Amino acid sequence: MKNSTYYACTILAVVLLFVVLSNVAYAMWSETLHVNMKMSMGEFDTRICCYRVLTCCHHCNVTSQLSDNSKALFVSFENLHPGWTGWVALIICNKGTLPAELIGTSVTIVEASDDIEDHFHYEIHYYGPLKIHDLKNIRCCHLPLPFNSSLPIQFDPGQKVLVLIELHIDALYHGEGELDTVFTIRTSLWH
Amino acid sequence: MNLKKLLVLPIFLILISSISVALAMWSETLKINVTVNTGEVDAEIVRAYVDDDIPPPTIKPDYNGTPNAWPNCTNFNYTGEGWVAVIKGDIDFEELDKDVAWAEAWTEDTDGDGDNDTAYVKIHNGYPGYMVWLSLEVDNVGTIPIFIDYYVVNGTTLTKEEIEENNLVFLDANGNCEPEVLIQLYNLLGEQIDPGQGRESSWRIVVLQPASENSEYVISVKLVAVQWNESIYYGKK
Repeated sequence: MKNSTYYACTILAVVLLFVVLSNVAYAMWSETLHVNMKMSMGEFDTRICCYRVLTCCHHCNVTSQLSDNSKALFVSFENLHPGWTGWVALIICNKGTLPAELIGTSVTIVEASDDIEDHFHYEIHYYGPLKIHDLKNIRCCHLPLPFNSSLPIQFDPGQKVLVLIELHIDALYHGEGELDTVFTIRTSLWH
Repeated sequence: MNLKKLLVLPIFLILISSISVALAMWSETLKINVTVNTGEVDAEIVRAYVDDDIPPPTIKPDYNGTPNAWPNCTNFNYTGEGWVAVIKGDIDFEELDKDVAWAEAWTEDTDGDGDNDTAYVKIHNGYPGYMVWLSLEVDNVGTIPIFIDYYVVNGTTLTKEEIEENNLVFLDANGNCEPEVLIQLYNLLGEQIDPGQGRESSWRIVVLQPASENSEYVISVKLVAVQWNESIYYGKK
């Protein structure tokens, strides 16, 4: 009994010694090279950075608000009459680090009184890329501007695009009505 | 009687000592001193190069890469360093019209043995579709022939046979089966590199559509070099 325990311990010690030595030998005879890659992504950030709603109607009420992500502009028009014309001017900025492309602008009627939406028309004009800073000098009588661009429009970081949306209620409409509208820009990476 | 007894002992001692002297005189020790100087298994990344290493703006536009194969959820395995899928396919690529992103690569000696054992690659201002080529040159700077047996990409071990069959390695950082980065590995495995010789391999790295803006992705590739006669490729041709 004593002998068998002795032999078992001896065999175990030899095996352990072999395993330990084998590992050391293997580690000494191999080499690991490393390739570490780190990829930092850029920022895609296009937004409506400036806007203005123009109407030549003095008794028409207009309220506007930019969405939290600055991708959409909510505009409510009141007291719209037949033949009414208005303009929504948007400056789209590229505040990211990647070139962008303006694909289009959506005009959606959220709520309307009577059948005014059937008499509501719009036309969109695009300009850019530009270095325009604000819309202070925009006047109804100057619009639309010449030399408009066609979609899609590429604009690099720091560049801007001007969007002019001409709104119109045709003469077939009767009475005065209200319109709640949303103007949304659609952009993507330039390629 | 006593005298005889007394004489036996000295005679016996003289006899023994005579034999001992004789033995000492007729023996000689020869010595062979063996010194074993072992060689060294040592590999070095002598060059790491990316083709888009100048910050924009330059006249050299970026490349846009698109894989022609896409992994599904069953292709991914969790390795402890993220989710990895290795599938068969290739990358279609085209030159773009702008220089937006850029990359840099450099090597370092991290273990202080005088050889550059680590290559670093950094991509700046990346975006979905951006593709860059990484060229690696590995030299055997030891005294024993070596094989590079494995790539270990974010914990996934790949052999030559596996790379030859499937060489698109997709990396998914958050385990939603939507990989953010892809590496196309070319073979550096299974070829014997003798002391003083080297091998070059060029890999493609592509940022994929699910990549998030303003984020950072990390890939680790290990190249395991072993002495040639312990290699899994030893004797295979």
